[in-house]
Amino acid sequence: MNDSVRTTTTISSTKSLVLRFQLSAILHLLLLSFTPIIMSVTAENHNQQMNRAESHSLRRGMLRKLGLEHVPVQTGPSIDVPQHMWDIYDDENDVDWVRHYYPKEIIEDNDGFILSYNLSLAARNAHNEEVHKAILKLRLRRNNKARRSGNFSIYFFEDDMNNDRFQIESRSVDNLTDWIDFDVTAAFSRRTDRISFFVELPEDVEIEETQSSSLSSLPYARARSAPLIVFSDLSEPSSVRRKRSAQTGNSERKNRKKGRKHHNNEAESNLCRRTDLYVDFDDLGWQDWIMAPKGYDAYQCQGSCPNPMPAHLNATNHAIIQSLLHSLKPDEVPPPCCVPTETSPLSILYMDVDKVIVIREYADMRVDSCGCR
Amino acid sequence: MTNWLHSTHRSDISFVFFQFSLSLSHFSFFQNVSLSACLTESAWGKQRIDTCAFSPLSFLNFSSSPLSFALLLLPQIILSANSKSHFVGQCSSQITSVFPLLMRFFLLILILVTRGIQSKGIYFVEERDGKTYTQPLTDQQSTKKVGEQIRELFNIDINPSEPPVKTNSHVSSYMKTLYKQLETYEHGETHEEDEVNAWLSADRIVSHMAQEVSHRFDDGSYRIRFAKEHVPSKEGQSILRAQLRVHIQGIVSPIFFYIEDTNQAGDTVLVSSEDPTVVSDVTTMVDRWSHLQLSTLPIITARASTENELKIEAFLVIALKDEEAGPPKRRSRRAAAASPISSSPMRQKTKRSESAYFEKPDANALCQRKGLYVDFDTLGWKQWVIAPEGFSAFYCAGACSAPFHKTMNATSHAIVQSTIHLVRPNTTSPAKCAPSHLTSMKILFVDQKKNVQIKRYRDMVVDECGCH
Repeated sequence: MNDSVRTTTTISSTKSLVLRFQLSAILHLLLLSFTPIIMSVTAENHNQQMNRAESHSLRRGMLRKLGLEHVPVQTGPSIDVPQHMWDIYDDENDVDWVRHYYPKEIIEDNDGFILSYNLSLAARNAHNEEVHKAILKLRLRRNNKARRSGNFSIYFFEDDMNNDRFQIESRSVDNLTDWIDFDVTAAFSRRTDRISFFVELPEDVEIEETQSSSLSSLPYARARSAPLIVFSDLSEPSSVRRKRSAQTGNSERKNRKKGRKHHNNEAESNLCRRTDLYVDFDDLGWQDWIMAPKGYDAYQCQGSCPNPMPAHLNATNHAIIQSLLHSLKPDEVPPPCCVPTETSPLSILYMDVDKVIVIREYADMRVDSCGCR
Repeated sequence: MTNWLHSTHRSDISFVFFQFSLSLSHFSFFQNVSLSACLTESAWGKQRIDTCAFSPLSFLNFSSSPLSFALLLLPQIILSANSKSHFVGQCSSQITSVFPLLMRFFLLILILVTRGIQSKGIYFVEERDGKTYTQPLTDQQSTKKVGEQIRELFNIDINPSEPPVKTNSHVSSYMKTLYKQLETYEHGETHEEDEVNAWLSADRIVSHMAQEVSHRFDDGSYRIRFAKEHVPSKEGQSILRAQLRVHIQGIVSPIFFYIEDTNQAGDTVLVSSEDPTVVSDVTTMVDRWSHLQLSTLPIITARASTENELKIEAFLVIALKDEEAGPPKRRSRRAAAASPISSSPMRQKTKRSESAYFEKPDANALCQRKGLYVDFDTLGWKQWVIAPEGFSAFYCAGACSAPFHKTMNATSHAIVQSTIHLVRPNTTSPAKCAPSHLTSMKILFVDQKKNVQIKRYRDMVVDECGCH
């Protein structure tokens, strides 16, 4: 009897349990139906935040690659990049680093001008540079149209402290309608943050006030007629850089051929190879510091590195072993990666602090060929 | 099942390692399996053994044959133990004499216990808190398979199923010295000397023992004859250096030694020597033989300024370079860090290996170099490959995501690509973690024709990883 009572109580309690469970289940279901929405909203937010943080850190990473701590802050009126810098930028010649300075100060003297340039830059990794050419460009105006020629001399001040000046060049110039270039490389025998030149001019000649389309650049009217352009090499040996002039054409052709081969064979189409990838700097939000190019063909390496490795994937011995081990233990050893094996540099033109225009070549920007590593 | 017996390690227990004599391994029922053994100190009476060592052992799978029991109990057992007092030699003799029965009993127990213990072969190596942890990557069967494939890749002329041929001791000891020398140069400073560079940049260094050295002719000369196949062909390779090394027995006073090409008069190398080893550069001679591959016999005439009959042994050492291969890669600053190529991490004293403590790969870990060791012994190469015992190949693993830490060596292209991936995920993938710098490795081995060779393999060892 006792037993039966106990059984019924257990049953009733079980019933109430079931009821309670059902109620809570409904409540839960109700709640659950909302949570995905709430979660998706927060996840989206979170993702966006993550993306922003990541894109910010990538931007910083790229700036650091360019040797900059942050995007150079521009003060004063905006000015255009002069044509002669575009010419240098477009020139195929291999130049590591070109800087274009406007004078910080122009002081009129009895028989000429003192031009002072501030050479300090936002770029940090400038210690290994070697100046191989420096040009002082002048645009001059002759007040007395009757005279046809005169003697021009350029001196530089060894030291800011005393007024010892050394003549670098002296010559007579007839035609003043165009830019006059003076080679002032000799002044760069030692590293300095500031350099001053004395330009000795015939009595009736003075620095032209360059006309500009934008009124805001008025304070630069005279400065724009006396830029200093410094060409330097970075002493760091970069095998990649040397490759550009000699090999880019070849590897391009080679790759195109390779690409065609892959298209012919569909089974091979997923193997490691170079594919197109266009980089639009506007798209990446980098247009505020990169003035040129607007974008470029970076290419990319995509595809698999299977085991056994086909010969044309130019795998290293190590990659072959790794691919072998990956086939044995796919979870523990990663497969070799399809990565760039040859790259070429890209010249970037940007505006540094103090309106210094910089053209600099950056290694590893463009993929020439891919392989399994 | 744990693969390491010594995971029962306690500080009061000493480890002892047994190694069977090699002669046993010729029986078909032996397999190459590594074994580690532990015995308490008290079992050895007064012998004090402090350190445990372990290394591969020819392991007997005796279940198939009772004969193996008998063989096992034969006193063909070498016991070696690494101890602080370096008594390895005495240890084996003393212990066998004092405890012959006891030892065999323990051995039997050991074999029973360790049946099924697998070889090391290839294993992960992880350094944490100053300790090294290892975990085998492959089991015995796959080790064998991998061994075959790696041998194929190495393309070396050996047959592990056969016992190695005996080589001349002068040749093998010289090649060992050369190998060691090159290893130290490789990881040291760059050398300006042409001589060193020639040997360093070689892809293959072969040694050939002279086939025959004649008795003394009346004019005091000896003919040193090499085989035609000793002359390297010019196809796909170039001869960087060739050296003739002559060992002379019976020198009483300093002698002059002339070496000339028997087929080409006037090309004499004069070496003055009181040293029993005469070394001369014969690069031009071997180069000429190589040009006239079929028409000349590679015979060198050696003339000694003494009336005595000398006993001469001679061999050629030739440094060859593959033609397609580019210039030797710039040695990295970090090459020194990657130097334990030849030393097995298992042999270092402070190191312990416990598979239970090996950390599972972390999915969030950043791109970095990870330890991976390939042990040649357990690939069945022990008797053919003289050095190294194995090599640390390393591998690169980890995520390449922003922010790129300095150690991640991200290229500009990698940063650009990662940014594009963020903005337009469909157009590209994130950057990938791969070796950014690899170094070569050399192996010293005996080929099937008894020639001792040093062969260099490019891009074998990961020196640095990076995001590409």
